[in-house]
Amino acid sequence: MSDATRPIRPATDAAPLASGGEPTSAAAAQPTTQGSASIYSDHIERAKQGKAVNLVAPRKAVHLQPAPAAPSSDPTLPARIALWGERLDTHPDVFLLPPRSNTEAPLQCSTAQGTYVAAMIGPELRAVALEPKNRASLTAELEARLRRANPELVDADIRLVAADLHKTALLVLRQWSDAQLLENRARLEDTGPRVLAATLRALPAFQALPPWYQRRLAAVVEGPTNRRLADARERLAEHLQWDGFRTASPEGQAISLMAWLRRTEQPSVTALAADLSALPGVAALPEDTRTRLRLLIGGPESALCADARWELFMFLDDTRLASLSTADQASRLAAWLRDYPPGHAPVNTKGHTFDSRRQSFGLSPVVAADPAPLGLKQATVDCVSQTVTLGAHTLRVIRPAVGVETPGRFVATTEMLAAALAALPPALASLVRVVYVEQDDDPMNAHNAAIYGDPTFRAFMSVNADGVVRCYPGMNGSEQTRIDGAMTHELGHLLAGSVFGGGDYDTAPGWQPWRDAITADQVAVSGYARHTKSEDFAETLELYRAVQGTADEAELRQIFKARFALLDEILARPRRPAPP
Amino acid sequence: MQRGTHPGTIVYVDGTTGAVVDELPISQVPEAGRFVAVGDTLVPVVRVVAMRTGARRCIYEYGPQDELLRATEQHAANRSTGPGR
Repeated sequence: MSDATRPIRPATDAAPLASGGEPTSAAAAQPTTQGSASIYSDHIERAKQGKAVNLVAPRKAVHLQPAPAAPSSDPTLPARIALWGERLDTHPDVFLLPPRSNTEAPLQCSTAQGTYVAAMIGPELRAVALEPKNRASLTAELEARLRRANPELVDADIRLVAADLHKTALLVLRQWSDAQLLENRARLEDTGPRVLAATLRALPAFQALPPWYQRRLAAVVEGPTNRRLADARERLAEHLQWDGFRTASPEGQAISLMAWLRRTEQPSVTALAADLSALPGVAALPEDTRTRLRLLIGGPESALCADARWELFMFLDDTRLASLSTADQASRLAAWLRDYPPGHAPVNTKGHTFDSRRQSFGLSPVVAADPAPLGLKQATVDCVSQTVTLGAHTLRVIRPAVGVETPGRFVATTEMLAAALAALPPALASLVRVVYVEQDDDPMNAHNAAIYGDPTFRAFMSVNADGVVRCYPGMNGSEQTRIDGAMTHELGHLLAGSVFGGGDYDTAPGWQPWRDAITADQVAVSGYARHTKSEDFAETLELYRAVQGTADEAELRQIFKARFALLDEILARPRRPAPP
Repeated sequence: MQRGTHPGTIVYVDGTTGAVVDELPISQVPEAGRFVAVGDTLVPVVRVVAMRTGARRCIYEYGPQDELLRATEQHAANRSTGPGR
């Protein structure tokens, strides 16, 4: 290592603390000023003179490694300290303003002794805490938080520096960082990431992505090598090699890349809440709108709103909201809530099933049914029938007597359909008169493909206004959740029609209660729900039913308070079952 | 079964954009798409709206009074966005 790249060691008592608050060997961490030829000489001189030092870091992390001449008491310890400077901008002498990032899991912990900020950056670094007024204040609370943030944390990974060492430590660490990066460049940048970056950038799908997605993906493949990004790159490489991705259209690949990124990146609740609270425009919003924003950020443990946090983080980053006037901030935030990014759901409802709401049901023995034409679509075939009993309501499921399932064409069983009916709210189930399991595809498939394009779409289920449900052979399997969801959603449209009437959903007087609920809640349950008020009703009903009785229900009842309250009232209304 | 009088054409709308994508005389529409059985009456379909999100598309058929006659959920073959990682 040349002098130019050797870490300097200022003459301070920069002894890091071992976990539990005990100092480690002072010798191990006593930096000196040897090897001080540095592009930061001016900064160091200014600091020594008590003048302000402005270090605008091009990277987010700086690292410290003890010089070889000062071995740690445990030479196996990678006694490296990294500082992540979010809180350091408040220091009177030092300005370190790294770009805000959600990728490094900043962790803020306020105790009576001060505020700590920690981050896990790089393979060697595990944690850092700053600004304790008393270095003995590495409290159990902080340590517990660090360990929760990184379960792999070991005692040797936790180090603290005292607040009075910030300035010196920053200078030292920054210089060491430059040296280390130069020294390790060849090692860190092996050919793998370069190939991955080139592969990614060559994809038309990548070029078609919105700028924010491009930046984030580029940060994954071209960012510094550390454990988290190395893992992300490995998974991204796998994803690009996945058959489903390689054979998809550019449009499909773009969607797939966005979905992959959303699964990978997890914005920090703490950072997001802090960013929002720092915006004057938030205070200018109506109280109700502020409440909506707060609910959508959710608590640290809330997985429901992970996507909303992601979208909000992206929105703040893309719009540079902080640079706008207070009024503009407020109006843009209100618009963001109202026009939530198309195609995305603000709450993550994946994983919800209707199982918790499924009632017991009765199923009669199989009997022969009249070989009569089943409405307009079904050819005359021998049929069998079973009666499903749902409380006081009975209905029949009629299907061809011979099996209609062939390879690649899955058909729901009568038991599955009965189970789906048993998961419906009674008010919805009462709309159903009969369920037909069709032998053939919907004869309208080809016509709809000719009108709307994409011949890969085929009917899965249809619901007539008179309570006739038809199930068609499916291509993707007829798993229970899919049947449950389709039945709830499509019958939801019928229920809405029976409650609010027909006409233009935006102007018809009958639809006013639902329009009022939408206005009150502001945010919709999904991107699809925003297409029409009727879709909003059906999508909300599907979510409402899926989460009833689950741990997520209370949180969703807060977010969609007006809609859920109206659904409570509608579904409680007495209803006469459809005639069999 | 009673059959209502069809006005003669069906308007097809892309529900996502609100645009009318086609208007066809019923002679160019399959029989199954001209009327919907509601009880013992065949009600004429006069407007069809398609909504699509990802691998799901819903087709809504409306009658002369703008009443919803039938809702059909379509699924696209084997679409997904990733291998689950």
